Amino acid sequence: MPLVGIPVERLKKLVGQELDRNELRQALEQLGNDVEGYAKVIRYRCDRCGHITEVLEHEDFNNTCAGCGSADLVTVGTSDVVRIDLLPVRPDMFDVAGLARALRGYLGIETGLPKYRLGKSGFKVKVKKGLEDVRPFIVAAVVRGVNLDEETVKVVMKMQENLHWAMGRDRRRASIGVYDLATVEPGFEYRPVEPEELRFVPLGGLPEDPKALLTPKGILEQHPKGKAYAHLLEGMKVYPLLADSGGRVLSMPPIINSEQTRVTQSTRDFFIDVTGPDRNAITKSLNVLVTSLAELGGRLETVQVTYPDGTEMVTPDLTPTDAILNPDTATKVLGFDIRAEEMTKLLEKMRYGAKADGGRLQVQVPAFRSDIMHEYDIIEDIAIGYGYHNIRPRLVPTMTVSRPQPVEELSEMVRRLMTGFGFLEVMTLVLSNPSEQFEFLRLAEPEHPEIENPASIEQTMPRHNLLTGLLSTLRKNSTREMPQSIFEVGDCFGLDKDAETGVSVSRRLAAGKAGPKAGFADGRALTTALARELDAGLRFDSVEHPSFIPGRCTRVFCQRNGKEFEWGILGEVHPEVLENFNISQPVVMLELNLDSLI
Amino acid sequence: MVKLPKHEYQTFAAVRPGPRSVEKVAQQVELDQSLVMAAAQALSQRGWVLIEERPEDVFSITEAGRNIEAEGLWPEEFAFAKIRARGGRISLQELPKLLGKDDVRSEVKWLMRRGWCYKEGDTLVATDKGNTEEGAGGLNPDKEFIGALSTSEPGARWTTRGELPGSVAVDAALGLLKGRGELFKRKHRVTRILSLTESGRQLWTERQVQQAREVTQLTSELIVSGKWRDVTFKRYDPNLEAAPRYPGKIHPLQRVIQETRRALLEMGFEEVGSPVVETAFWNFDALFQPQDHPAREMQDTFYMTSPERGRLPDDKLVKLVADTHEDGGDTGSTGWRYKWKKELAERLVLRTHTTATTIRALAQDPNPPRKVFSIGKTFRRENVDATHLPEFIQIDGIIIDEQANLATLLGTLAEFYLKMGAEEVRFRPSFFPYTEPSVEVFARMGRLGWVEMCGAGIFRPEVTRPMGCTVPVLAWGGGLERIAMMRFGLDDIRKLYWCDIDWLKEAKLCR
Repeated sequence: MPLVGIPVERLKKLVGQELDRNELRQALEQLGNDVEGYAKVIRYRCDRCGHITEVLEHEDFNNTCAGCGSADLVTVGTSDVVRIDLLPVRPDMFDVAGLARALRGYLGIETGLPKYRLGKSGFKVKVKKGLEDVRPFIVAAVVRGVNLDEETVKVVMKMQENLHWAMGRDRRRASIGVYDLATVEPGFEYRPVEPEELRFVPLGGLPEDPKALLTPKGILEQHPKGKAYAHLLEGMKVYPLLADSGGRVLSMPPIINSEQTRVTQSTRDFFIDVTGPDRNAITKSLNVLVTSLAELGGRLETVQVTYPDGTEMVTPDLTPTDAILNPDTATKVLGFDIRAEEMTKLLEKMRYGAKADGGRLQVQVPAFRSDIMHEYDIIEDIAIGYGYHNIRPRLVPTMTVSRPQPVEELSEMVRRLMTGFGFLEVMTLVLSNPSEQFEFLRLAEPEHPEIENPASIEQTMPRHNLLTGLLSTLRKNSTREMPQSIFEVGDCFGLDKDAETGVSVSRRLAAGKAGPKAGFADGRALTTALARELDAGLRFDSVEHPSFIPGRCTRVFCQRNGKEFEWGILGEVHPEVLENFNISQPVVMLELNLDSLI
Repeated sequence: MVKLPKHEYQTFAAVRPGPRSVEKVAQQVELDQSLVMAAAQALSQRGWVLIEERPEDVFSITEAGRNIEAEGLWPEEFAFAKIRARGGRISLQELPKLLGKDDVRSEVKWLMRRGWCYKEGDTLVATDKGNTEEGAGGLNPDKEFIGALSTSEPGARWTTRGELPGSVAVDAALGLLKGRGELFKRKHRVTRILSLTESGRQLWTERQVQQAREVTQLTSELIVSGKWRDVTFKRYDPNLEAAPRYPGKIHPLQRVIQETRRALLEMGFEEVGSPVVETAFWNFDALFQPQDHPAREMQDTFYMTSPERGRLPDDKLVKLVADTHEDGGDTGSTGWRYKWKKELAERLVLRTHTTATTIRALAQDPNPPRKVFSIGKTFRRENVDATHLPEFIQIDGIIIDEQANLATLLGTLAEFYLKMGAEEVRFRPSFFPYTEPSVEVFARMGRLGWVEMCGAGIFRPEVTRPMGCTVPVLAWGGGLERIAMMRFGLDDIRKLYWCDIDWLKEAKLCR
C-alpha cells in the first residue's frame, strides 16, 4: 500500500481546530487510518519542467527531478507531514482535503452531508463512434479558482496518482486527466485516433524540441509512460484521444497528457476528465477528486457529455445515494444498545445525511463515497463514529465444544515421541524444485504439481517428500557438533485426478540421524519404538531404492485393525545422495506416512 | 571407635599438638580454608573442637611506604636538618628554595605536628625537641613501624598481636601515622583459632579416632555389604562445569502453533483443514473478492500449471456466488457490477490465506452455533528477504452465532490474545475486502510494546448469504511467524526455516 504524507499545518487549518500530534494521530486512527508517524518533507521544483518533487528529510535523494530527470532543482519549501499507509477502500481520505472533511465530522466541528455548489460551465464533450471496445466512457468537470502553491500542486498530483492506484486499477478501470483550462478552447471531442494519424508533444517533452513531437504509436514505443502503460492498449487498432475545438490534443487516455495543457503554478482553472470501461469507477473517481478540490477552495462546474447514440449526461453528478437502514440490523451487528436517534447523530458525524423515518433510517450516502455497497458498510461507519475504543468487549455466551482434527492430534503425539527419543524438530519450506526433490535423491522425476508463476527457480513446486528438507538441513549444519538427530512432521503433495483440486496431500514424519556411527540399526530401532507407541503392527521388507545403500534399505509396513498398509521407507542414505547434498557423515533416514494411522 | 571423614580427621590431627588458626591448619594439611572450617564446625558440633574467634588488624606495606623508607630520611627530617644548618630559623617564603621544591606544605605540617618547629609570625623556628632522641634522625615509633613492615617479605602481613617485633610501639606508631594512611594498609579480620576440648583430647589419647576410606563412586557392593557406613564420599565441587545437555525439542515456530491451537481448543473451537492447492473459487470468489482484484493477479498469487483447474462445488452455490459478484444477488448488496467468469474461479492456486479453509467450513455447515479455526500453510508470491517468505503459517478463526457481533468479536479476540501472552489488547477500525465492519488488533507484548497481531471483522453478507448463513459470522486471521520471531528475538524470518541446530538447541522452551 502506498504511503502518503499529509501536510499537518494545512490539515489543521482545513479542520479549523488546533490539535496536538497525539490528538491528531488518535483521531486519524480512530477513523481507520494506518498512521505511520510524523516526518518532514522537502519540496524541490524542477527549473526545466516545473515538476515538483517531494523528498523525506532524511531520505537519500539523487537530486534529480522525478518528472524529467533534470538536475536543475530549486528548494521551494518544507512541510511537516503525517504519513498514512493508504487503504484502498477510502480514496476520499487519501488527501489533506478529504481527511479534513472526515475529521471535521468526527470531531463534531461540521457534521452531516457536505454541500457542494455546482455551476454550469456550458462546455461539452462529444464522444465519437469507435471507442466502444477501446475505452468507451468519459466524465468531465471544470474546477475554477484553486490557489496553487507548490504544496497544493503536489497534493493534486498525489491525489491523481493514488486514485489511479485505488480506483483505477493502475489506470485500467479509470484514468484521470487534469489540464490547465486556460490552455484549451472549450468544446471537446473524445474520439478514436489512428496510431500514426497525428503528432503531439507528450508531458515532459520540450515544445521546441522536434524530437519530442510523437505519434500515438511513437508514444507507446518511446515515451517512458507510454511504454509503462502500453499493455492497456495492446491489440487496439485505434487509440482514445481527447482534443479541444481547435484540434489541440489534451491527452491520449489512459497513457499521457499533452505538454501544452500542463498544470503549472499559475493555473487557476482546471479541466478534468476521467475515462474508462467502468462507468461506476470513473464517476466515483471524478467525484472524489472534484469534491476534494472544492474543499481546497475550488468552484465546481458541470460539463455535458454526449454519446454517439444520443445519450446525454451532465457530470459530475454529486447527488447523494439514498439508502435505508434498519436500526435493528445495526444493533444486532454492533452488539450494543444504541437508539435510532443516536445512530443518525453518528452517521452525521461520519458525513452522511440521516434521519429517522418510522422505525427506519433514511440515509444519504455522499457522492464521494465509493465503498458503500451494503447496509453493513453503513453500520461499520456507525461503529467508527461510536468509537471502537468505547465498545465494551464481551464473549459469545453460547456454549460450544472443541473438536481437534485427528491428523493434528496424531502429529502432536508423534512430535512428543520424537522429542522423547531426543530428536530436534526442524521446519523446512514447502516450496521446492524437481532437482532437489528427485535428481539429488537419484530418483526419476514423476508427474507432480507445478507452479505456473514461481518467484524463483528454487521454488517451482510444493514438496513431494520430506527427505530433501532434512538432508538440506543436515548440509547447513555440517559444521555443528555430531551426531545430529532431527525430524520433521509435515505435508507432502502429489497428483491425484480424483481429488477435488487434483492434488493429493499426505501428512508424513521423516527423521534422520547423522554422525560417525549413524547406521541402519538406529533407524530400525526408532521405527520399532514408534510402531509400539502408536499401537501398530510392523513388518519390514528389504528393497532396493535408489536413494539408499543397496542391502541397507527396507520398506516398512504397519498393521492396524487387521489391515496392513505401506507405512514408508527406511535405510542408510546412498553416498552419492550424500555427495549431492554435500554431506560428509553417514546418515540413516526414514519417512513414514501418518495418514494410515488416523 | 570414631571413623572420621578425611578432612575432619586431618583437622583433628593438626590441632592436636596445640591451638592453631584455621589458616595455619589449612596450610599444614593442604586444604582450602573453607574445607577446614567445615570440618572444624562438624568436629565442634560433636564437642571435640573449640572454635575461638579473634578479631585483629592486619598491616601491610604499600608502594608509598616502601618509597619513603628507601629515602632514609623522611621529608620532615630532611627539612629539619636543613633548617638547623641555617641556624634554626627560616621564613616560610624562603623554605621552598631551601628545600628545592615548590610545595612545602606537607613538610611544614609534619614539622609542626611532631613539635620540631613552631611558627613565629612568618618564620619557622626549630625547637630543641628536634634534637632529642625522638627528634629528627632519631628513633620514632612510626618510622620504626614502617621500617619493620618494609623489611618483611613482600606480601607478608603483620598483626597487632605478638607478631611485630616486640620493641615496636604499635599504638604510638598508629597515633603518629594518622594522616599518613597512604604508607600502609590496615585490614580488620577475624582469626579463628582451633583447639581440642577436653573430650577431644581424651578421645585422641585413647586412640579412638580413625580416618574413614574415601570413595568416588557409590557401588552396589558398598550398599549391599553395608560398608558404606565405613567410608566417606569424595566431595564434589558443584561449580565445576559439566558438558551441556539439550533435550529433544519441537521447533520454536511449532511451539507458537501449538500454543495457538491449545488456546482455541480451550475456548471451544473446532479444528478444520482444507486443500493447500485450492481453487480460486474458495480462495477468492467465495470471499467476494472481485475477479479483477489486484490480489488475484499473477504478481501476488501462485497459480498452478499442473494441475491447472479444479472442480467447483454444486452449480447452485456457484450461481449464488456469481450473482452476488455481478449485482449483489439477493444479499442486499449492489455487487461489483461486472461479468463473473467461471473459468477464472476454476483456476488452481496455492491458497493465499486459511480464510479459504474457514469459508469452506462455513459452506459445509452454516448453522449456528459454531466456532471454527484452522492453522495452516499459506502462500504469497513474495521475493525472499529478511521480512518476507513466499510461504507462512496462518491462523484463521470464525464464529457463527446468533450473538456474533462487533462487541463479541472484540471480546473473543481480547480473550484469545491474552491467552497467547498479551498484557493488553486494543482495536482500531480497518478495512478488509470481505469483512464489514473490520478491525485491526494490537496487543501489548511485554518489552516489545504494542504489536499488530491480526485483521478481523464480521463477514460481509455478500460472503455469508450465498453459503446459506443468516446470522453474522465473526472472522479473523493472522500470521504466526512474526509472533515466533518476536518471541525468539529473530530479526530475519529466514532463520526460522534455516534450522541451525545450535539455535534449535538453545531456543528456550519457557515463554
